[in-house]
Amino acid sequence: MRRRLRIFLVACPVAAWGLLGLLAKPLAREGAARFGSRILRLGDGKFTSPGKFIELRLRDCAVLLTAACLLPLARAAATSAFRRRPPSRARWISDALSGFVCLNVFALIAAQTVLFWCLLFTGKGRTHNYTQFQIKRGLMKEVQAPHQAVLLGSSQTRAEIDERLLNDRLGREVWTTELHFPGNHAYELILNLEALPAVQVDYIICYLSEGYFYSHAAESDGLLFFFGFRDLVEFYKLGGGRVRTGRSLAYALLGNALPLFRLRDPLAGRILGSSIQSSKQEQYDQSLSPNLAQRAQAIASGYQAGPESDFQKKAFSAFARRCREQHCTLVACCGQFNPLLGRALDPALRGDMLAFLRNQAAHDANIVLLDESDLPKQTEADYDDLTHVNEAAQIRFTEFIAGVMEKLLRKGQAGQ
Amino acid sequence: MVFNSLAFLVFLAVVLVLYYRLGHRGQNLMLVGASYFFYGWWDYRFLGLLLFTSLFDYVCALKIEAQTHLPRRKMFLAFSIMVNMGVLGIFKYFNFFASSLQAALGSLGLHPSFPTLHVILPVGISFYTFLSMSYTIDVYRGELKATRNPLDFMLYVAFFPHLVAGPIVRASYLLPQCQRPRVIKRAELENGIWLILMGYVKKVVIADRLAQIVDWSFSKPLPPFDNVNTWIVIYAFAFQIYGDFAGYSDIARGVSKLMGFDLVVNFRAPYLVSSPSLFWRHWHISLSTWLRDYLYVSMGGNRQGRWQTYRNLMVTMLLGGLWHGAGLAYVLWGLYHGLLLAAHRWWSEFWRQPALPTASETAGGRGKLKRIVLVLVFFHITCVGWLLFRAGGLPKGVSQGAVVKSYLEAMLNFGGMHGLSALILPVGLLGGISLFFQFKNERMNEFSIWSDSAKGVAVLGALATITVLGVFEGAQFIYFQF
Repeated sequence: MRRRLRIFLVACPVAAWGLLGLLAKPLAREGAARFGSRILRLGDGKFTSPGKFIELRLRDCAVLLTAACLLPLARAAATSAFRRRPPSRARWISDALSGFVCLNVFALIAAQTVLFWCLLFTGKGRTHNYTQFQIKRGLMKEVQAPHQAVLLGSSQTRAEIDERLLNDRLGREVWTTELHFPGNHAYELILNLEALPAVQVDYIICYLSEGYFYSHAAESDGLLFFFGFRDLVEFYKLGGGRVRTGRSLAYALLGNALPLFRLRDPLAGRILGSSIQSSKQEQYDQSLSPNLAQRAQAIASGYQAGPESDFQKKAFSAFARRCREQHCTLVACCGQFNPLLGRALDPALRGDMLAFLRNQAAHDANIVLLDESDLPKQTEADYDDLTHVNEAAQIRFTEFIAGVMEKLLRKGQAGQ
Repeated sequence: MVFNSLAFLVFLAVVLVLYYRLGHRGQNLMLVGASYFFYGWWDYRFLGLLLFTSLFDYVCALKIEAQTHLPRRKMFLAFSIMVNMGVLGIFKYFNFFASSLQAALGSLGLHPSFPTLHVILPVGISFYTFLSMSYTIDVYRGELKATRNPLDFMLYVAFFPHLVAGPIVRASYLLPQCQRPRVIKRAELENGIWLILMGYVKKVVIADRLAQIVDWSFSKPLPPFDNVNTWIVIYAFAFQIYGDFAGYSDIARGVSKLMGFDLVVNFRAPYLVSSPSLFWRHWHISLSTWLRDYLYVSMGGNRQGRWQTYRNLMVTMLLGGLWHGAGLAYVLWGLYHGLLLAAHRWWSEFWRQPALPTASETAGGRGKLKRIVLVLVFFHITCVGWLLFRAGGLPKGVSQGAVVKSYLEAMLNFGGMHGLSALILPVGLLGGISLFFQFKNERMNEFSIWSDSAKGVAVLGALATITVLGVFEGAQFIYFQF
């Protein structure tokens, strides 16, 4: 590498951090004054201070620039240190592989910044779920509130509870971040919990239904995006090896080793446009029967007790234990599906799930169980489909959760 | 086992480690075992069929060679062809012909009931049957000596890189490579690595990404657009099928090169040609040369006058279409290409032009412009053929004719367009990569002579593209079903 280029690559980050120290705050103030309302609108209730948002994104810029400059330098240094190792005829292989490693390291660093994820944002409703998760996760670190709560679970949790409503009502005392991931089962809750940033989360709220325990999915997106080598031992201990395919595990581990591989769908969405992703979703939606009763019957046949439910119950217990270890209260709602689906399911499953959750709560004081009789009643008319409630039902349920949270906060204050 | 699966990568690593440690005979034995394992991974029950086809043609070829009496030689050849076609007929075409005959008789007021066979189509049956059959024909024609070693012949037929989706390598080309010890040269190793990477880009990036658009579009009863935006979907399929099949061929050639084998080039630049005759010199070259040498030439080729030539072209392409799938849409696709070839031949004769462009025609500025226009026009003509081809893959119960009609209507509705669909971005980008590979086709096959820095950048680019844009859901290759 030429000397001038080396100097340039060192000077760039130095200048960037210097400029950041000098100009970040004034620029953020100016930006907030000019574009604050627009930024807040785009933020959709995920943060409250546009000035701070701009300041931290400028810092992200400096981080990305530093990584982009220092990685080629590190690669050049490594190449010169091992110059004689690869025979000159095969140097192109080592060049290509070291370049590939650098790209992956860059992806790993970039994935820690909110700016990178914001660049992958392709519009509301068209952005990849993992990108949405990472943006919200990143912004969570930047929240300044006395307490933090997280909504974890599948798309049902998001459909039932509106984080904006909760934050409008309780945001000054407890800031809620919605971090659902579609298709989540109980086991994926552990993976999502691990993925939370290093901030004290005081409450985790989950809307649980039979889908978390009894629906079999040989492969799940949650596993692909969140599973890593560190989870292997526990996964097998819990019995996951019996119900998940080796292929999904292999891809998940490959994603853990190669960050670029894990980021492929969000990146592809950015590069190729979101139309491909939405076409896939649309094709899936088309394949569903328009008759909800028929669809309920078809889905219900896949729900059963067995190795899958054993694994998921053990996983939920492990999840609850981790919440306790992290001093984080677990608010578990004994939720439901659309009664159409609920009636189609084997009634023994619901009884089994309720008994399991009640037993968990009885043995773990950290779990606040909201039993089915405590929750607002939901009828078929409250649902848009078999699993997701409509807006009116969502508001009702969110108000209910807000009430619960207020009680918990008062209880906590009284305890102190 | 598909090339775009983790299982295959593990399999390949094990095979290569063993291969490099063994001597020539051991390599052949191991490769036969590995190839049968590769095939059996999909469905072990059809291993017997593969073994039967191989051994039967092996014996037939020996018998043909041993006979000096021509009628007896012919008899054994006919026996070999009949058995091979019989296997194909039972597994691939029986139900199609039975239902077609039933429908034809039904239209005449007769309602006979034909039995249907409930058999799965063995993967790659058309490929290995043609491969095996060409061997006995070559031995009959005296172009090849029958091999005495069954293991060599079994390896020729079952060699896993080309077993299920070609290229259809002729025995005279591949069998000698099985018989003699292979020498692995550094240049060929490098070319092999690059071909594999390029093949994966074509398959998991171009074909499988575009498949998401094509499958979405054809899952609807009507085209997704009612205007010329529908062309975008057809372009997507054109690039998908190129990426899928050319990608497979590249990976097959690359893997073979890692073991010192050389398979024939199967694709050049099919979307950068200006006539149907050129198209078939660039698309699935191994099949088109097979059909030419064993079918078209056997029927008389172009030696028996103009109308017989047209007839031979039509029949050859019709059977070529049928080779692709037992369905009316494939037959029509074959006929469409037969018509194009015949029309092009007539046009060339009428204007006394050579069927292929001369160097002087493409050299000058005007020649280039004319060629670009012709390439664009012919690409769109090819795309109409792909619509027929794609219709052949529609699920049962969907009217293929109605789908083709609705797509054609939309493709010609220039008035109803209000801006381009957002799909133009992925199709344009991935199609652009596909055209780049075709444009630089010759250069792509000479990786070993590139500069070191170009090699490094190209491999890094390919690795990054596969990792970021690849689809890794183990999608099947389209040509597996043929």
